[in-house]
Amino acid sequence: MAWVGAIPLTALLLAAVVEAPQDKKPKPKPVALAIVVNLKNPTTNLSLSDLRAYFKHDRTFWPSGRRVQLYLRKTGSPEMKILLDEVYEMSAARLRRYLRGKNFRGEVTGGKAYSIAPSTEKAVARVRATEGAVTVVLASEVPEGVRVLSIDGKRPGEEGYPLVAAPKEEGKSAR
Amino acid sequence: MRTQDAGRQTPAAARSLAVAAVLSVPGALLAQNGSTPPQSLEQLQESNRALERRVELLEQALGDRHHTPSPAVFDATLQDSFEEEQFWDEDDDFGLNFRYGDAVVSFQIFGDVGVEYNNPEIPRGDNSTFALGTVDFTANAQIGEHFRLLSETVLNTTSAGMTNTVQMRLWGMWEFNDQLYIKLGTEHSRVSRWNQLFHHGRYLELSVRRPLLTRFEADGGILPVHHTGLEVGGAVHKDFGRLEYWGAVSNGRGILATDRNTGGDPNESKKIDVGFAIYPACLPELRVGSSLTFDEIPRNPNFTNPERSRSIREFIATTHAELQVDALEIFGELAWIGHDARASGRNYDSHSGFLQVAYETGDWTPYTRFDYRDMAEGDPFFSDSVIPSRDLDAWQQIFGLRREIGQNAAFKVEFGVGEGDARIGGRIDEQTTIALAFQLAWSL
Repeated sequence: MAWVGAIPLTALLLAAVVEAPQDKKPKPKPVALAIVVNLKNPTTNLSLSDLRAYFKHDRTFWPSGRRVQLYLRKTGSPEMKILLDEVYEMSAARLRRYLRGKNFRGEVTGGKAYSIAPSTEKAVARVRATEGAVTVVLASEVPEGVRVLSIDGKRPGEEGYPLVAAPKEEGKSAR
Repeated sequence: MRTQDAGRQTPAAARSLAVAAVLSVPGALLAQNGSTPPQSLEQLQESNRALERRVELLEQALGDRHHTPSPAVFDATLQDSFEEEQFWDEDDDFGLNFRYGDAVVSFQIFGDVGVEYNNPEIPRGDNSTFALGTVDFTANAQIGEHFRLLSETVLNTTSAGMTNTVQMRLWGMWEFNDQLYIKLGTEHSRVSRWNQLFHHGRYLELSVRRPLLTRFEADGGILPVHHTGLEVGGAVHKDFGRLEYWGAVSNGRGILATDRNTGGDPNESKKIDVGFAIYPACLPELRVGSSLTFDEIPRNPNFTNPERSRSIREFIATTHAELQVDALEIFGELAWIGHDARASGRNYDSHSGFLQVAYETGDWTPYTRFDYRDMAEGDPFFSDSVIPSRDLDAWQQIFGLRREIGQNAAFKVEFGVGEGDARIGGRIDEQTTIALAFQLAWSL
């Protein structure tokens, strides 16, 4: 009957597991990505699917009639990581092939429709100077002189804003 | 670019050093002299001269190291223009881009080399063949907001070692908006999605070899993959998803299946293409589309087959589906080709298709593809050539592996096994086919 004694022991262990204090480390604040456009661009809100269409160059004109000029960020930058995960939903290598293919087919012109901005300052400078330009900056770094678009009616920082760096989970790696 | 970056920062660094020198030297002088002030005006002037010489030496040393102008000539205006130039230089991640006035020109070069083993041997070579692929020069220019030009020139080498230069594409396009564009010139026909996506951009193409359905006209292909004419199309985004549509009027087929008719049309009747594709809102990773082609193939004035004494009416219907979910990529096409020989009144129906599945895992992408071609034997158009094989059946299953090399190149290894009909001694025999291919493809 030695197993009878094991019952309360097992129950105690189970209770210890259930009651184990959770990790009290403060959760890191989510990093949001802001979509910024020129102040003359009358667009103020985009649905996430429309945003994807603009960034994938399936749509190449703004409703105002100006051509979309996309300033992407360096591969490996936090901005580009969120963009790849939440907007393009593809790896950096596949995005490169995708845009090269668009350029090869003549659907867009590289250097005009899309290019790489080496820093937030230069990306923003381009957006300020070009009516059809659009770029991405971390929501915490949005400067003056540009418009931040709402996505699905949400502003960066609001609950439900879709362009947020997904918290790192075990077994899930960034693209 | 790092050098330029360093160079751009140098004037500021020089200024800082100069300021530091200005600040430190009097201190050093004071330290040397203790708390004793300079004894005379001459000593102060001498200190100043020493200071100026030191600043000059520092500036010279920095200038030599980084080849930058001195702060005196590096005024704000010059700095602005330098930064503008610098910004533009940073844009070269996607090909070579140049701006000239209101125009931006983007150059891309595609190239490939490879080796193949085929059993039985292919018509143009022995069992094993090293082959130069093609070098493809593409220039794509945007002028203003609505006008775009594209030129694609391909250099390819024949088995005899001759290099041919072919102007593959040349067109101008006016885009009114996303809903409407008009394009005039020579373009890859949209009869096949594969053909439209990749064509000579072998680096863009996942596999080593094109599917049987989409082979070029000169390589035993059965579809008209080039056309010269007028294309109108566009796309709309609605609640149901994205809808693409297009229509084209072009020169159409030539007398033989190898003809491309870029320079003219041997008959009055033009080829008509219409098509559409949709990305449903409920599954935006999926694309399905279809196209219809109507053409009148001209008679062959040097006919040996009486059915070529009159024209042949051609009807092609194709459909395609693409699905990309995360790392999984599925791509398939089907085509039905109908030929009505006006001379005999006989109909010849053929069909062909492929299904390719790939899975990207980091830099490696394994893939497999099933290809088939079920042809109407004796089709007067497809059998009218020096090596009549287009009207014969074939199938193959390929297994391949692609490895990205950096950002602009990839190597691919591919093994294929299948069966194909062949005309041997006046009769048609079925043969087992084995192919092994390696390709290195790149894009600049």
